[in-house]
Amino acid sequence: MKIATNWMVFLVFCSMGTGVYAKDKNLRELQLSVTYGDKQSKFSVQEINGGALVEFHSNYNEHRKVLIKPEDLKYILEKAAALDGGSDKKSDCPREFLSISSTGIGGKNLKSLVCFTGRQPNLKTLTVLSDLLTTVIRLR
Amino acid sequence: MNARRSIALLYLGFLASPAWAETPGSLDLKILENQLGNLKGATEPACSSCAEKPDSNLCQDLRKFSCAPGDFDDGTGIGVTGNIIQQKVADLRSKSRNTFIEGFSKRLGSADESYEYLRKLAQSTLGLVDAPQCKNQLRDPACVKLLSSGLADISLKRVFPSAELQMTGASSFIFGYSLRDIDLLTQNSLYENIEADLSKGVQRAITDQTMQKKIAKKIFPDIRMLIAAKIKENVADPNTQRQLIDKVNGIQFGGVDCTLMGGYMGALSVSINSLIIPNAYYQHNKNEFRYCNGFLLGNQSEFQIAMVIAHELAHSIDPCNIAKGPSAFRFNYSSKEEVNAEKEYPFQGLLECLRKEDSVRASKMPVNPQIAVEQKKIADLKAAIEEIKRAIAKIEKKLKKSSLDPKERVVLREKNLTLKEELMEKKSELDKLSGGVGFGTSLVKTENPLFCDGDQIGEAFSDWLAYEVIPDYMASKHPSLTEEQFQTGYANAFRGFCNTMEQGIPQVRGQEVAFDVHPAMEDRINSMLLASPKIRAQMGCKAPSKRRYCPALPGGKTK
Repeated sequence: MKIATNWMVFLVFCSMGTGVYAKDKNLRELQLSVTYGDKQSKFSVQEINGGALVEFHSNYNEHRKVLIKPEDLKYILEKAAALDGGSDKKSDCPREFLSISSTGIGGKNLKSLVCFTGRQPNLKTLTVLSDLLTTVIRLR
Repeated sequence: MNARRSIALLYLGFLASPAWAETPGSLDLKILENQLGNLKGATEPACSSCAEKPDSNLCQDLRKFSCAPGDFDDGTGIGVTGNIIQQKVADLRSKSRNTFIEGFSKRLGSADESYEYLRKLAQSTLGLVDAPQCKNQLRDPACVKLLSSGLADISLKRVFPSAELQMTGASSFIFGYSLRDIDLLTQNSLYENIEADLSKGVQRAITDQTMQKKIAKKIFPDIRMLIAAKIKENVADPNTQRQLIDKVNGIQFGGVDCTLMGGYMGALSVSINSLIIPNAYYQHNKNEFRYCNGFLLGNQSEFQIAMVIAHELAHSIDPCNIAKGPSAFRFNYSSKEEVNAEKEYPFQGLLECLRKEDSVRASKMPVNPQIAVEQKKIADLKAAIEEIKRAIAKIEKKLKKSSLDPKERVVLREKNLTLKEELMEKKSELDKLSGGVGFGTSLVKTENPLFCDGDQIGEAFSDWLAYEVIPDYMASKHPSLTEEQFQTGYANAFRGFCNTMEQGIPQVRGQEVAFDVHPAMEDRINSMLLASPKIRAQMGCKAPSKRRYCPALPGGKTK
């Protein structure tokens, strides 16, 4: 019940549209960027009060923020936990790659970059994450 | 509606024009030379008649015009600024809703028991577990209607991008579904199959098959041939010349569907994003380029189509990609230093010229001081670790000797222990500095092939080569265009870019320094395109450009 109350307070606070919230350095955070030819999009997931703010930006003049509930954040983090440290070199695919940086997920900080055309095992996990975040942004 | 009809009519007129009736790849270089005769003296235009007819202001600033709102016919097609793509997509989306509902309804209403699980998934995801319409049987028409309508809405959002996304400073919304339920639903095979079928129908409706064929059979082969001719003209060394021409001649057109790349906004394979976002790319490992359908939805001007294709083909031999390819048949820089490597580039003197302040000023990404310090620390730590490892190996070798003095053995064992502790400490320090697994091999540039990362020179070169071949292409294919049509056409080549290329992404905390590998639009158009004497001559600009032209001269030399 307490969690639900906190969550409602949080939603009301954030829906006021101020976009101002306190950040705790220990909170989990994830940033995923998709570079594809001349186009670039970035997702960021920032933990707030157990839930998270999912933000989307692209260089196609798109910007969207979506709040997700604690159980949805948990689901995203479960998927992200499958990431290991495998990386490709950016110079192998300067125009088509997925890159992620995360803090505090699975007790570790991680940065990884994978080419769309590469064979990194992380590619599948990053694609799944990108799918999930796209779904969140589109189905809000 | 009238505007759309007139665009369609003009487009049909364009298709029927005699220029297109030529055979594929029919551009003859000798004929071209004759047709270009009036452009030969264009490098230093005479200005005796300047007083009679002053140059258009477009001769100094074309960028502003390329961003002006409206529909602009340049005699080869129409370039549109505005939200025509969004309008087309919104129309198709609204027309598709019934098709999507019917598509789901047909399957969910089926007596086939294999659909029962999907019905339950849908019921749970949509929050219809307690709905009176679904109380008895999920196959009841009233329940099927609700389920189908709900799934159609989810699917439409996955297939079509939301027009509302194109807002800046958007406030927050709340995700209304359970992400786990949605993920289960959308990964379900039966759901996936239905959605894939529906998406294919939408993709067919939005793909410009006619222009795709035209690019494949006419525009692309002609541009490729002109680029090969330009290489022959400018690259002095015969072996390098052959390598570059072979590579360019081997490029294939991968079509207008860019879905295979994973999609721009994410990786949803059903999304039509990759068919509606203006984009194009060259992929070096496939030696292939794609001209994404999104370009064609907003701009049918051949100036843009030819320019973008020339730019993408040029990427195959840009200063980065020129060094990629089979080891025995690629250009190898002998110098590891970019300053010296620039001088080796087969288009002699060009890269230095493109970096100049009065040209397009292609720059390199400024080094982030914090990253530079961290890189130095990481390199020092790695060196220290290697040194300790060597010392340990030396001691262990001595310890293996049976003739070793017992007192010395004790001293060496202690020293070995201390070194091993030191090694552990250094390794842990390195892990911390590297920010966890993976960092050391990806974002810290330990090995960076020349000109491939954080450098605008690749894009600047590709623009340059495109600007070199397009005047020849247009003169050959459209010999009767007027100066005004050329002015409109060269602006159309960039029309639609104003909303994309000039919008950066706000910096996200902790990420790399923002740096666009494309030079500023202003410089790409006003400093470089308008510096081309051939383009100026076609546009009727008599006064020479105030900006530096980086000329291509026979024999591989530049001024």
